[in-house]
Amino acid sequence: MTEGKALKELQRGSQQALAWFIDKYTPYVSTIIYNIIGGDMSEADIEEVASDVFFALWKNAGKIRLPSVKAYLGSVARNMAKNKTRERGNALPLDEDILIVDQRTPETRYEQKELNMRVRHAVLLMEYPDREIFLRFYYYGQSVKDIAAQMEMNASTVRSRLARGREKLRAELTADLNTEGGSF
Amino acid sequence: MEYRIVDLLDCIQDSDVPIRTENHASATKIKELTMEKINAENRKNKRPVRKAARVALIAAVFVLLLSATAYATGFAQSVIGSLSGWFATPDEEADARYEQAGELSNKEPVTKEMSELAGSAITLDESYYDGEDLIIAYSLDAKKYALEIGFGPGDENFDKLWKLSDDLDILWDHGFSEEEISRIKAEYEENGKAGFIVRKIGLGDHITMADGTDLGPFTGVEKDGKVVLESQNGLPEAAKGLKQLDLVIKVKSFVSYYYFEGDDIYLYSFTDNSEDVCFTIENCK
Repeated sequence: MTEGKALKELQRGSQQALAWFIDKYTPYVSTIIYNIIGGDMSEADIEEVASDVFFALWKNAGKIRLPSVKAYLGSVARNMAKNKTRERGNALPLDEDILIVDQRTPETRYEQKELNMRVRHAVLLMEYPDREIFLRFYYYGQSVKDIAAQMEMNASTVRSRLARGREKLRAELTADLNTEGGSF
Repeated sequence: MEYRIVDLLDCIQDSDVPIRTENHASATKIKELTMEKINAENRKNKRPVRKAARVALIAAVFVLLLSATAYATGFAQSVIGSLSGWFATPDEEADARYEQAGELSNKEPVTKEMSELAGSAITLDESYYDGEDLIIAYSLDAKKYALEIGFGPGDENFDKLWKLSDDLDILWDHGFSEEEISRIKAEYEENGKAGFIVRKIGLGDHITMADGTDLGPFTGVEKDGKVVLESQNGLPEAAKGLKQLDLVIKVKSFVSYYYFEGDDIYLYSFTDNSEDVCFTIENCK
């Protein structure tokens, strides 16, 4: 079965099609959950979160269009894993996970929509391999060690490129919309 | 102001990063757990599993260009009313509307033979108009469906082709069957390209009143061989509060040229004939 056909069948309520997606994307979804939740959860816990992810796919199938099934599953897996981590009180962030942005007046606080736009823009502006490293670390929850191994580079290089990505994001969030850095 | 970067990236959707995956969970177990959740929700909502997705008529006109369906004769039950509780996604307001419409609707089928599109007929199986809302169920007995494989675009029509998609799966969205897609793929594998022509009959993308007033977009659902159309944003003022509504439905004969050359699939489509069919719907209130 092709993904297009499976999605069409899923939208018609086929549980066989759902099973097809579970077979295809379990490694992808479970890896994201595992990376974010970490090693302190059992396989049963990961399966519970993963089933929530595929249940969300079932309920929202009508809204999903090709080729975004994988991206949708990744995004939902990530958010559900984060929620699970918070439920367990394991959400203490590392220093390097916090971005301090100097916003002098309350008026400059961003609405969520604008904030999202600026974040997407900042990530889009990152060049290869910075963007991939940034997403691997902050989006997919991979460790510096794993990123270094999978991308065949030194851990110190990964760290310095992550720092560069953070700086780019900070610059985007502090840029005035009327200045060059904030025009998009 | 402090932001947590992990949270900032919630707005991102990515599928490009090639993360190395491992099996941290059993697909069999995930299937069991997911099915339990689906069954629990179905029990909670007392609804059948989802059977169809709603589709927009205007945006997805090709989806609704139904290949000729064997339309049932004289169904006693209301197809509009049967939509109440039919969707897995709970929508009490819509359910109540379908239920009421199903009770008050005109269930006397009216069939109009077409002269321009000879051999075809459209049947208004059921209609509901209360002065505010309009819901109709129709079936199309369209004789003119053909798939001709082996088309090779000449200079005169090659320039008119526009890129439809880079994914042959788009044909599912255009209503092609598995058998047809297999034939198209076989043609491609044999010749390194596949051109094909589809001729079919379907509704145009507008329904108007007799005076030409456009009734706006409709959403469509296919059920039991019939298509139920419902005004998406409500009827225009000119169509409200009337004793009867005179509808003009344009039925068209479409010709679509598809051309697949391995990477991309191209399309050129046009209407080669059409016929206006008129129906009068009485206000049920």
